[in-house]
Amino acid sequence: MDTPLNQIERLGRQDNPFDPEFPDADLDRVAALAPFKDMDPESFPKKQPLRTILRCDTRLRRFQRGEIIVRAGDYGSSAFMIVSGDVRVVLPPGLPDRVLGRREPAKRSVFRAVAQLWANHRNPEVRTPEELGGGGADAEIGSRVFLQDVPRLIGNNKTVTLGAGEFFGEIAALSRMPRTATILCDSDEAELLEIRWQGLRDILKSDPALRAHIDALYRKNTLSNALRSFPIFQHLDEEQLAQVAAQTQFGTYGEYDWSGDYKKLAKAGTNSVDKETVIAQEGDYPDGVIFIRSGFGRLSKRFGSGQRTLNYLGAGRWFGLREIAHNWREPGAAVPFQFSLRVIGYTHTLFVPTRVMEQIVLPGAPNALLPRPLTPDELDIDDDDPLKEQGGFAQRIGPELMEFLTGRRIFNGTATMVIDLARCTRCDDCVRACAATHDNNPRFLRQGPVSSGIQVAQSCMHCVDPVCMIGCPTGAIHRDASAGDVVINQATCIGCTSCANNCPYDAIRMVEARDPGGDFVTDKESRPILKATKCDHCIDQYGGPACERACPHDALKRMDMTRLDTFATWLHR
Amino acid sequence: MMRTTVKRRLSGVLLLVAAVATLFWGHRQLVPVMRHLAYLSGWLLLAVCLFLTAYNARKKLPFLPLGSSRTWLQLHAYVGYFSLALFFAHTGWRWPTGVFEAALASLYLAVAASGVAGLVWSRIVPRRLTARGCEALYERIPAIRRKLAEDAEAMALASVAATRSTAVADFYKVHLAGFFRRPMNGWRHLAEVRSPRMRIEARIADLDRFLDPDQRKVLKELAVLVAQKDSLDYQRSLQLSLKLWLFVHIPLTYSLLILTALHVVLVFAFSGGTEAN
Amino acid sequence: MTDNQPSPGSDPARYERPSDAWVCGHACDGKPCRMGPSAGGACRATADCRPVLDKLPGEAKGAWRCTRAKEHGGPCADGPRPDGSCGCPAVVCAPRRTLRNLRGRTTLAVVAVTVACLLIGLGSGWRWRILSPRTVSRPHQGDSFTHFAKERLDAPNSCAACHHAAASGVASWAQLALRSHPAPFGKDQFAKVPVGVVPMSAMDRQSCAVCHDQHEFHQPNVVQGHSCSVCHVEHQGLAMAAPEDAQCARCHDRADVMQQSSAKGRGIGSERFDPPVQAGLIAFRTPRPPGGRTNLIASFGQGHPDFGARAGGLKDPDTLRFNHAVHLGETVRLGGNPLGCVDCHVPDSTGSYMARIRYDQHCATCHDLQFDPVHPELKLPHGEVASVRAKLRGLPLLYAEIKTKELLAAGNPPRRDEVDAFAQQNVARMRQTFGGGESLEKLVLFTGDPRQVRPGISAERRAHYAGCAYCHEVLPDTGSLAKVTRPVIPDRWLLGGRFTHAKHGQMGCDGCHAVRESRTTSDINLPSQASCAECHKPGGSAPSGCTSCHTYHLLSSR
Repeated sequence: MDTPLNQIERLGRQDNPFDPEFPDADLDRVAALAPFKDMDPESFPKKQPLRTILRCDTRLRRFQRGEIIVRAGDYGSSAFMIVSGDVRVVLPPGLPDRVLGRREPAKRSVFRAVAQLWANHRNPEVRTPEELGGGGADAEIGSRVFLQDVPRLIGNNKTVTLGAGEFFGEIAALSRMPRTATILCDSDEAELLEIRWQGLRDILKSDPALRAHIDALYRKNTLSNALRSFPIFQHLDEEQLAQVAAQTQFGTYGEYDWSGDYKKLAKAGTNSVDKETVIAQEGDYPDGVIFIRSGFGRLSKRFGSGQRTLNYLGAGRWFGLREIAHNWREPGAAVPFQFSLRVIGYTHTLFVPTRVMEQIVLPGAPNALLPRPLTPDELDIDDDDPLKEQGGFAQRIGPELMEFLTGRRIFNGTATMVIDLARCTRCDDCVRACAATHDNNPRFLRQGPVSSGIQVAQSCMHCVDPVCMIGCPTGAIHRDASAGDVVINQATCIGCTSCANNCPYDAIRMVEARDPGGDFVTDKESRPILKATKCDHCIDQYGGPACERACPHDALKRMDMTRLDTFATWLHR
Repeated sequence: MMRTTVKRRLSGVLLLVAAVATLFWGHRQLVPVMRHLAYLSGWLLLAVCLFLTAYNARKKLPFLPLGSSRTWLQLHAYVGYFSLALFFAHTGWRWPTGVFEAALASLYLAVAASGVAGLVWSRIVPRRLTARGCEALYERIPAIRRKLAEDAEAMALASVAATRSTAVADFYKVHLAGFFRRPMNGWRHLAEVRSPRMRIEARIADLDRFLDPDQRKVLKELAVLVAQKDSLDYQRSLQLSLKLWLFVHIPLTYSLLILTALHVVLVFAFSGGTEAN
Repeated sequence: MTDNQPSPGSDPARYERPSDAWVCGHACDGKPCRMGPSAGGACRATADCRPVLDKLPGEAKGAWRCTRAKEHGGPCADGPRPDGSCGCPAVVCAPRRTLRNLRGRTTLAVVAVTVACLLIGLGSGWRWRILSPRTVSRPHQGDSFTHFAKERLDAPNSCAACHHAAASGVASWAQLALRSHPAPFGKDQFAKVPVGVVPMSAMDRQSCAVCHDQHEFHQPNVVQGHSCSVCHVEHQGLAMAAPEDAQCARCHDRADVMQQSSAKGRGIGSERFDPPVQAGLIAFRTPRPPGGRTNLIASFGQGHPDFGARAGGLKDPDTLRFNHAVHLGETVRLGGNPLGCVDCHVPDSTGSYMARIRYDQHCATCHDLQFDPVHPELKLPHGEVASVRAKLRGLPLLYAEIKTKELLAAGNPPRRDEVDAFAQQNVARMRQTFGGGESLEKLVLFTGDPRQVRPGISAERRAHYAGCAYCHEVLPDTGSLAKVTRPVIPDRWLLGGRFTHAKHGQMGCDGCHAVRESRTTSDINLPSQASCAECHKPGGSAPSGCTSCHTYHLLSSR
């Protein structure tokens, strides 16, 4: 039987190397570099030796003086190791967006937008040859941006210079966080090894030395920046900050890939609050302030015989500062932790011990930054505390919905599709609008869990912590460089279903690709070619998400669930 | 603090009342001034009707930043109410006498009435659907119904072997088989009449007192399916009603537009001033 | 029992596609095929897999292997057929339209029905019945009008008499609409109400005026032709509504228009303004005021001048001597009763006006022209002076005739001597009383009051013995002794408007005509406009519209 036109080669991760033309000479050179040459080949799995990882998941890139390597705020899924030359890290507050050459995400032209009226395929899930073929193109290599007159631009910004052998960008890659700093090439030419996070993950798994090295790097390079991002540390000078950094402890809680656990919990239908690891317990002695770097913690208070969720704390929030400040000011009337903090998902924390706070941080802190002392009869949360507003909103949202949002980890979403069922006429205009903007294919299902008349539809929430990205072997699922939305590159998706299985919210669907005639595209074995699909937040459309704009009854909203205030306001609109 | 929805509705209604008052006042002022006021009010009415129809076009162009559908619906509703006032100003509060004109006016009123009814219905039904629960996508309802029916039948058949009695199976055959087979009580669900379900529940309760614990367990499970099927029928009936009113509103709109076009041609072709060749 | 339960069974791996027009016929079973129907609604169910031929090196035939993916159930038990086709038959279905697709079809169907209804309705003989907003007025419909329209206007149907579009087919209407006035996209349609006169439209000139050519425009001093349709609104039912006062006031209450009219009227002979009067009728014509009748009139109660006949100084020119007060007074009796108005003024056949007063009908009962109290049956003729003189000269013959009749009545043959003697006896008596011959004739002709001749006569009898001059103007005449002026009693007093006595029956004559005080013929006993306006006012008991009395058009004298 002849090979029909709609039969293609099945893709694997190895088929989508980071650099399709990685010369063997370069590979040899890289393997002979510092951390790699010292690694024990035995510690790597047979199926995936170090050399394979290097060939598949790294590439060499050359930069010229003044060229931007990573931009603060971008979502990157790769780390860099300097092979030769110097780079300069611009510490916060950093360079303005204009200087960084940020551009709007590529929108369709107006004509191509209108053309969707007739040009959309009439058959479901049609893929063009480009979308099927692979090609390994990476969104990160876009237009290169050079900065002229670097010293003037940098001005008063503090900078750090890194040299050969040093790593950077690993935090952003591994914790799926935006880049914290802009990094420029600081020598006439620099050669960098870029490692995508899948590769870095696999290397770290097998080599404890590098992991320790990375931790040390983190403490050295990033920690003070990280601390600076919390207001309470902003008044400290370099030396004080270094002292604090030296005594800060790292905490990592939960599973990197937490969605499997979560799904098990959800299936069992148990109340998740009892299963979650407690970071700090209400009633315990406040031994330090917990600052959340990434992931989420559940803030709760004992109520009756259970825990009432007051809030969930995401990156940039802290826990226990109020109690410690209170105890520092009124040592005679020391109070314990007023709330509990539990891990939900995968959470990085920075723990600054009480002693450090009392000796270094609190004495010089301006009054505006110090939380008010707790009043004896005070059970609720205070005005100055950022928790207060959130606690108030939690009250407006109501305990059932709060538990729903937390238990089902809806807080993870930055663009969660919430539907007010009391207004929704089930007209499906949202779904049709979605189909019209996505080549006639709806990218979400208007169904999902309901609580208090609010439905969270099965649509990508564009999570703060996108667990879907964890298993992706090719990086097809990635954050858009400018908008931060999680999108899937159809060309590099190999249909492995790992993202769909990882997604805790059933927001990713595996579809069988078709040719324009409507026939299924298959591999040589006649097996269907699967592609992962999900909401792309209408990243290339005008006017934002079509579903929300298409709702006639103000029932559907793409909501940033990391903030309770907008949700509470919307709820009581 | 006033909720934004309430605030929006209040300002919308006030704006509408002001617009209608301005319209009637202006019309009154213009009656002695304008030679053919009907031309002005007629064109205005046509423009308003086209704007109202344009909502459909907006729905077909979700990929252009033409304003949110929500804003459009608000405008659609309020401008729709305004068009009623404009219609009466145009006709001079008289019912047209000719067959054609009467048909035109009837169509307009039918479209307007179906629109108002649909809007009111769209505000009532979602609350009822949500309160009842058992959300189901309308397209999937037949499949779910079929699965429920298969489950119920399997349960009834299995009970014969498991309980060595045909009591439950007989009951299923007589009272439940028909109930599961097709959508039931469509109109009653619309009217929120619950007696049919209560009747079945009463029958189940009646049978229940004569059963042994095993049979009772099967019957209880069947009762759960009955409740699910009833809720499913409820969803189907109400969701269908939310879709069917548009079967009146939209087709009549296009009929109205056709007749309106002819009306415009007639008005000018048959006006007193037509010059002979 | 809780209602709030999740709905059972749905495939989480499948996107629902509500935008599609067709669903697989098996979707209601919850088992739609993977392929789904085509965009056109055809079932595209195919075999489950495309078997692959496995051939080991050196093997001649090889074996077909099922390639059904494990997502779809894995390789089937029976495997492919020997010819390499799939062994699992395709499960075909009849795809069903989605509700939304049905809605689209419904819309198309309704649109089609609408268009069909219009085509049938407009193509059939019912076209005009459907389009006409309301029936036209009675004169503008019916076979005779259709015939008329064809003859005079070359119109294929009665509608085309006025609407030129009706002469051509439906297809050309859009074109005609573009050429109409006001044009659909022109500014004219938003024009203000024209001040004063609305000029005639094309339809007025081409349709109305063709048939209504004997209609003249009102008064010769009308400034401009006035559009018919301003006052005559068609399609308002069988009876065309009367024009409204506002239409009259458009000109009559506008000083500028009235000034122009007044100026235009100056150059026109006043006889052209005289209202036409039916032939044979005597009209009381009043002189035209110098500026014409151009007072500013808003309504009957506001600005309307008093009737022309009542203008100061005008007198009834009649020479007949008539005293209304005496006739309606105590002295005059008819059959023992006082005289009423209706004893003389009798409505004419239409009931609108009073019939002309005639001597023989209305005067002769009392004024029976006797002259010999001994023989009251002897009467003078009414009419010509010559007849009267002839009668008086034949007196002996008159008496002889009386005697002859008397004898015959008694059954005796009349003897000549007896008859002659009787005649001579009576003639001698008359000569003795009045003087002979000429003097008797003079007395009869010129005596105004019988009492001058017969002093003892009773007031009651006086009327019976009146001489000619009692009522008439008698002038001496050389040839025929005397000449009696013929009385001229006008039949119509108010020529500008019409009046119907019959409608005013319940008013009583005295309510309007103050004749009980009128002692001379020259009195014009018409009511004033103000007294009319007491009832004829807005909200009053009688209509106050201009058209209650006036007619806009004048029937041409041509």
